[in-house]
Amino acid sequence: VPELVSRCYGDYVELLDDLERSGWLDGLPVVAPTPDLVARFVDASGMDEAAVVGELAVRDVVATVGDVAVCGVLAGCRPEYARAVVAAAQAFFAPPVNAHCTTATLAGAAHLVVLNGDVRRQLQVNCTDGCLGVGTRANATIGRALRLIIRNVCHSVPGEQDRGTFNSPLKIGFCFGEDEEGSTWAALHEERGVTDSSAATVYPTAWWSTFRRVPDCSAEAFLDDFASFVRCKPVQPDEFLGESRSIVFVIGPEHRALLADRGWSKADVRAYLHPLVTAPSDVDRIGAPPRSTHLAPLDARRHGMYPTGQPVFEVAIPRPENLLLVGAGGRGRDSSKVLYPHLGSAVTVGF
Amino acid sequence: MSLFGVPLAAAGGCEVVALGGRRRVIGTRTLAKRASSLDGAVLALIDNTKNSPHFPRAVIDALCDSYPIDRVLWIVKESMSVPLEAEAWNSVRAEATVAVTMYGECGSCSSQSIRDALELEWSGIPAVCIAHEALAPSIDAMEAISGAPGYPYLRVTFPTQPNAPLSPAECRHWATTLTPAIAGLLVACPVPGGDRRA
Repeated sequence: VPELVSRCYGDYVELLDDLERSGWLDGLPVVAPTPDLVARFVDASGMDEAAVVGELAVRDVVATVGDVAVCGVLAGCRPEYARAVVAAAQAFFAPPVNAHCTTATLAGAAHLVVLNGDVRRQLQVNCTDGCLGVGTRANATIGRALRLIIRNVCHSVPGEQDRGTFNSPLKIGFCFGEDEEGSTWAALHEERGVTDSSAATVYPTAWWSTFRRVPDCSAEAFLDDFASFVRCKPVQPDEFLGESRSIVFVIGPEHRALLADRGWSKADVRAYLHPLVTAPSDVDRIGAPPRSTHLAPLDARRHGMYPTGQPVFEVAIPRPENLLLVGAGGRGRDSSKVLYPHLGSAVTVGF
Repeated sequence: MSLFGVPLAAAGGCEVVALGGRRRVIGTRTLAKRASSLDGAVLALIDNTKNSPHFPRAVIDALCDSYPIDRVLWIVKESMSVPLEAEAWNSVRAEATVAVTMYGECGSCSSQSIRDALELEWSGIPAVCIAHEALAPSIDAMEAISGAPGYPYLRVTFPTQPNAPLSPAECRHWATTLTPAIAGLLVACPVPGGDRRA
């Protein structure tokens, strides 16, 4: 692994112009990755600059801590964010995230980073009001750092290897923390086996939608409605992803209260929802060819195979534990978010 | 000038750490020698599942109808945009004399499919990738990343990018039309910078 090399510029404007010409920018200005800032970031990671964070063999890419540090500094991260950024990068390169597929797709998939554990307080990660949007440095820059790794280290440049036809503003950066203090529910990372440290969970997502429901009903009635809502989009099985296929539900505070106050744990919710969202649907009768993952309903309709009426799709998540419930968001709108997967699964890395 | 408290123009300039992912250390990569003909060839068709089995079936049938191909290995991948599984890859390397990778219909499957073709070439197996012309930028990017800019592939101009809407008869028509170009790329020396438009 070659060492990092440096380059000199006359001033900051010259630096930005050169980075723009070279295709390294995400469209926004960046912090200059001076040797001092990069070294501070590497030091804060607790790892060697040349340590390998991950590989993407199909693109001949090896990402080191040094690469991650450059992108972290460019994104505007403080040095103390380093361990979170490195963990997110390690999760991103894990096979279930399907890094080539989810960063080259026409679908414009984004990569969500969910932070859990003490790191949320230490870095002042926003987990409540407005947490999925702008306004918090840790959320904005940790998410952006992963995107710059995807762009500058993994060569996913929009219009070139990144083929997103419309792409998504979520690809500037998409990071938030779970509101672990906001309910009695077990935290995401603990449920995924990280019990003694903070964690970053990376999840490739192609589309999200908002479920609104005033919580004036039983937990069962609420979850019945939620399951119907989730099934407005299909999630197809995939042999490569196999048992890891997952979907993320970001549950808002009113909905968490409705469920938790009635004694429903995350596991209870998953056990109730799983058979509802995975039940076979009429769409299965179209007879998609074996192993085909892309027979679109409109295509099927053209062949007269698609039943009339509103489609209710199967959400092919193989196991209840792969319905990932994350508590987050602010009060006042009685809503939750469904983050549909692209062709990749969630991966959690402790740090 | 400073940004977030970092002095930038002190002493007449600023020094920054250069960007860019580390490239894996790789050996020499050369394209395969073209086959002299398809007589007695063992054809591997690497099917990435996009979008129905009718089109790869039609390509196999059209090639076998036109040339005395001895045997066909129709390999269906686990997922559209992942490398071939190790067992299948070993089987192809051991048996195939020519290969077709298909079908490049989306951003990730087209770039993976051209990479499949290149990896077959690097293993000594002449290959051709079939992809829709809308995905040319994706393929160009992967060829550049792989150190093979201009590697020829077969661009198709289906009216719709997915081939699932094509009937079996339409697939047969397209496959028959493409057959000479497929054979031409397998038995003729690829010309850097060239392509074959169907």
